[in-house]
Amino acid sequence: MPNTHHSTNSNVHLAALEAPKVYLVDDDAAIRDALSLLLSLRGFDSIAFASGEEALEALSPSSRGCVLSDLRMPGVSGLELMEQAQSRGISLPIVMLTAHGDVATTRAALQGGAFDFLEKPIDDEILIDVLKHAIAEDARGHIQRIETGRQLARLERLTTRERQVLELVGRGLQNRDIAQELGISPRTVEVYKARMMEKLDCTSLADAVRMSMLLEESPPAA
Amino acid sequence: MSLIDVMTTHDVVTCAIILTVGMGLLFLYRERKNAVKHAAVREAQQTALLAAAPDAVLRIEPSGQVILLNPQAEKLLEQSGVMSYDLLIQRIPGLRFEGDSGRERLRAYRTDGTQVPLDIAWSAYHPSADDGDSQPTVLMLARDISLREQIETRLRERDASLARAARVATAGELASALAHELNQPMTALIGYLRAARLIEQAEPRADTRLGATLGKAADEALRAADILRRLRDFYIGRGPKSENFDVRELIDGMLEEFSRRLTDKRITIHHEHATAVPLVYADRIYVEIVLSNLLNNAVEALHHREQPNIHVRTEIEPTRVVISVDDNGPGIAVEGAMIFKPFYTSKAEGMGLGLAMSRSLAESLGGSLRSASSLLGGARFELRLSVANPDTTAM
Repeated sequence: MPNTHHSTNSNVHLAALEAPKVYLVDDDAAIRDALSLLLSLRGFDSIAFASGEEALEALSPSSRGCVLSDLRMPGVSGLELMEQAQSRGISLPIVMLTAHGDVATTRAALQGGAFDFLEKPIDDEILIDVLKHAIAEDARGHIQRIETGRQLARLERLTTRERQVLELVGRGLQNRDIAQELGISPRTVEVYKARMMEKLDCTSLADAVRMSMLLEESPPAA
Repeated sequence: MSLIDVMTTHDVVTCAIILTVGMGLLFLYRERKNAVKHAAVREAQQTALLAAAPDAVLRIEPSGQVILLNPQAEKLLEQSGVMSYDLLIQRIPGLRFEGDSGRERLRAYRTDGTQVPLDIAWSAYHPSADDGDSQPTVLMLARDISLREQIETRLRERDASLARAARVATAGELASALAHELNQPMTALIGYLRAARLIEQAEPRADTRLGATLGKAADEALRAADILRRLRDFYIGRGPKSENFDVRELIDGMLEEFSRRLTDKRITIHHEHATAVPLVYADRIYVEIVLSNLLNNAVEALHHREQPNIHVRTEIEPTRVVISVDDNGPGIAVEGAMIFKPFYTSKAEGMGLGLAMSRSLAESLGGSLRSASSLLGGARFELRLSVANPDTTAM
């Protein structure tokens, strides 16, 4: 959940984002052509690939938007495309196009982390709706990752004592108890806490508690 | 003094004659007694034989009297000892004795209204050689074939239900293949029509019919796709009825039946099972359809081959039972995946659905069907089935 008062900072990063695109992958040329046309008429920026291999070559971790891929293709299948994209740090939501009744593969696709699946033939309203959601999900996830990254960077600036104070604040301890726990005076705790809040750019105790949840992901400074 | 001394020569001659005649008479008497005894033995043997025979035996006299020669005949015709020819014909309609002998299948109608299917054999003879012109005597055997008929009926019904299941599966495969192949152009078609509508909406024309028409066209395309979908569901939707069973019994039974019907008797079918094959969890009918498909393919591949051979084996894998069918035919000429594609066939009259359907059936059972080249020189197919889960035993 991004903090609202950091939105100015976030906007800087959002500006560096690639424009969201629909990465369309289908081995059938007519489907690529028809869907590309339809998507462009509905205001989407799309780019089509005839195979999973081609799509993987074009995708990168900085790609934004979503993937709309056929499940059954010669060569790299939709499922394999999803696995390989994930292992390359490509976090784009993937919408699978399946043939009707392909229950087993559809289940595997959803378990493997597909965003959604659509049965062929698809009508445009549902397609557009799902794609909009997928793109929004990608943007949300991306902003969250940026925010988390920034918070982790701030955590790294803390000294060992400040980290300890943050951890104990996160557990809900009062200043007096923190002082006892660390064997220092409550006044000193007060000082550490203030410095910690400032370094983390926290204005409320609730913000600090939220930050403390990220401590596990951030190794203490050596 | 001896007896000879007191007798005259004449006396001796007389005595000898008497003795000879006496012994002769004695011999004849013995012979006769033996003959009577032999006849009695023969008759006893005959009675025992008739009583032990599985068939009803009866004799039709020239006079029209019917003699029931054993208990089986009496039981079958519900009469004791003797009955009239007219009653016999009434009981076994269609019975006719023309010529010297005959065989036919008829039914006996019993007084309780039931019918008994009979295999009847009869033969006519003239008891004495000089009696050639008169009516012959007929000896008739009738065998109750209810049991055989039941088995035949059961086999026929089983065949029919297997054929029906195979037909449904074939139709399902056809529907599924059609739906799959047509889905692609349908998807493109609907996409184009929706796009055309959007283009029309961007610059509306005076004639509003174009937009509406494009909308209707897309709706019809969607309707067509829906029909395909329902057609496919109709055949595939019912799914397998799986249970736990010993696949060896099924194979043994199938192969026995299959060998019996094999028209090309040169083909030898070997089969062997791994020891301790676990139960599988599958639909028997599906397994039978797949195996009979593989066997029929093997037989067709062995046409005009020297020493044609088919090997059927069961082997065990950790969670699977593998049933393999090998032949020494010409083998598979194309890439393995190709032969499982719908509408692919190497046969002049094939539809190209047999293997596609077999693979679909295997997969719907949670198993698989693969091809390989056989050590026998021909093709090899491996059907893998899931081992029964002990938890499902109660199901």
